[in-house]
Amino acid sequence: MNHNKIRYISPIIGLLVILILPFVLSEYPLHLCALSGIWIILVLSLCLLQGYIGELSMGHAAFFGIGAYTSVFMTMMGGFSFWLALPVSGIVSMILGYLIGLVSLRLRGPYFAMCTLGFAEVIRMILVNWKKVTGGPDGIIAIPSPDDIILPFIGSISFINKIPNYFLIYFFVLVTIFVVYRIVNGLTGYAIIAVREDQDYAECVGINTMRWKRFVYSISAFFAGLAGSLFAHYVHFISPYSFGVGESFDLVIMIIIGGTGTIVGPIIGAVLLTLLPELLHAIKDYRMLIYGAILIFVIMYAPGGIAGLLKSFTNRYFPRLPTKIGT
Amino acid sequence: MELLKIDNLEKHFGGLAAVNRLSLVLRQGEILGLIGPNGSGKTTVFNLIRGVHQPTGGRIYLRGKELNGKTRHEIVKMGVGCTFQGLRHFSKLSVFDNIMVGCHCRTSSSLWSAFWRSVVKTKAAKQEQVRTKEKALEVIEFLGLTPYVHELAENIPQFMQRRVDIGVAMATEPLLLLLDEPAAGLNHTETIELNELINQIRNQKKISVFLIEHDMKLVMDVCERIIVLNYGQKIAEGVPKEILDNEAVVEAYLGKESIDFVTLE
Repeated sequence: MNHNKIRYISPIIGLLVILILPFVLSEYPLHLCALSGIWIILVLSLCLLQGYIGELSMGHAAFFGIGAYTSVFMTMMGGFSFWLALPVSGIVSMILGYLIGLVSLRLRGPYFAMCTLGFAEVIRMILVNWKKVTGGPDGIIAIPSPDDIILPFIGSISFINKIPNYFLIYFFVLVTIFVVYRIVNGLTGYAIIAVREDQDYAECVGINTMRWKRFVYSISAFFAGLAGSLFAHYVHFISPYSFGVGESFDLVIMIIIGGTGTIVGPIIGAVLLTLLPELLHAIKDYRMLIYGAILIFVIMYAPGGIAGLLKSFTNRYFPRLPTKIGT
Repeated sequence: MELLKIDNLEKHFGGLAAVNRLSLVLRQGEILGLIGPNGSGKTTVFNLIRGVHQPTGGRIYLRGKELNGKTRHEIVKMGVGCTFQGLRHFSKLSVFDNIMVGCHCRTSSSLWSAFWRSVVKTKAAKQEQVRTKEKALEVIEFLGLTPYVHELAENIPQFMQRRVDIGVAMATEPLLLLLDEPAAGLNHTETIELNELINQIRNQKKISVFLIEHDMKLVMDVCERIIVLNYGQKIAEGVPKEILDNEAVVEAYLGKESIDFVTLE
């Protein structure tokens, strides 16, 4: 087995796992898997920003929240179908991302991170205090499930049960992975990675760096909004506390532990940190202690995260074949 | 035909006049040298051309089109490629990726179309990707970097890294290449190779070259005309022979011994 085979086999294994899981797991573990799916979308969207264009957003959960609330407003107050609300919530957070990026992306590094943190806090304050519309700290309950869809040959699919929801979420996980992969590996990827490596130099070799940064920030916000909409209609309850600073930080921790600048890393990080709290239920009080220890360990001994460890493992045991020039 | 025309260019940093009423013309297909003592404003002139600084006064034209007020990436697209003092490239990327980044500004320019092409991967997108790769490989071969294609740029020998710098600039398909001290840190044989390379760039690729250099041997060999700056002002202009004989230049920059050294060789 060589390196190239692994590249082809691992996505197929991943796909099979996604397909088989609903039929072997009981209800609660499946619920956790669906939640992991939402986190995967979120972390991948943040990874596009942090890992590829190199700007860390500390307030990414704000777009998650905007997507969730937009979708809920549209379905519960506007009476629109979920299937319309889903893309619209993505687009609304994308537009907001673009507008915020217009101003904040002039900053770089820690200053940009602080700016996004402030923005996320503003959004959270609005959600908490604008009681008439958002329900305030109590949140909104009894959010409907996605509407039934009628497919030819299969009949109608109802989203009351967990399994169709699970597949719905993982469909969008695959879409996210596909889009992020294509953006990063196409010609666009060269411009994006150039900005990460050296923004000033990239500008001097003809790349409109601000435009690419705004573009990536918007795409990133789009997927976060999409995840918000899926989340709201899956758990049927949202409150400002689901979209706080803590959640934004969780996303960052997931990226660091999983491995930044890769696509596998965020997936591993998201799944691991959604499942870990459940495994540690018995020693709940010491949970944060364990998180901290893992984080320190990863930063000190595996700066590439788990994906980095996996990569060095595969490179060692399944050597890379000499590739053709330019592939 | 004049490619680059600088008209009464001025740049003041506070009270300091880094460039003072400089006018010059670079003709199509020419290798022009810019020399002068340290701090005489050579790099500032380059930074004004490539848009890093905006001039305090005066105009810069490339093929009759004004460069003032344009952003850096626009100027690259108009046809000015540049390298920087020291080594400047994406050191954590492979040589191939470096050149591909350089090629990027000549790919389909609209961002959303680029996005859709990348995501949906239409036939046109695939063709464009193949074309760009071929172009990058051509640049790599031209510069003799083929053995290092997949190496990280920071891991290859220094002279090869310098060639990567030049390669990235060449990949942007410039009309004019600004080289800022390309021979710094190179040994004697490498400097001779660089001399050949600059000539090849001009003769084979038809790219005009504007060169800042302290290595007098290289400047005198490779340049067809030389401009000498001192305190931001042009003190001499002419063919290498005239510059060597110019009293003011010898006084300000070259020194008597250096002339002997160059002429002896």
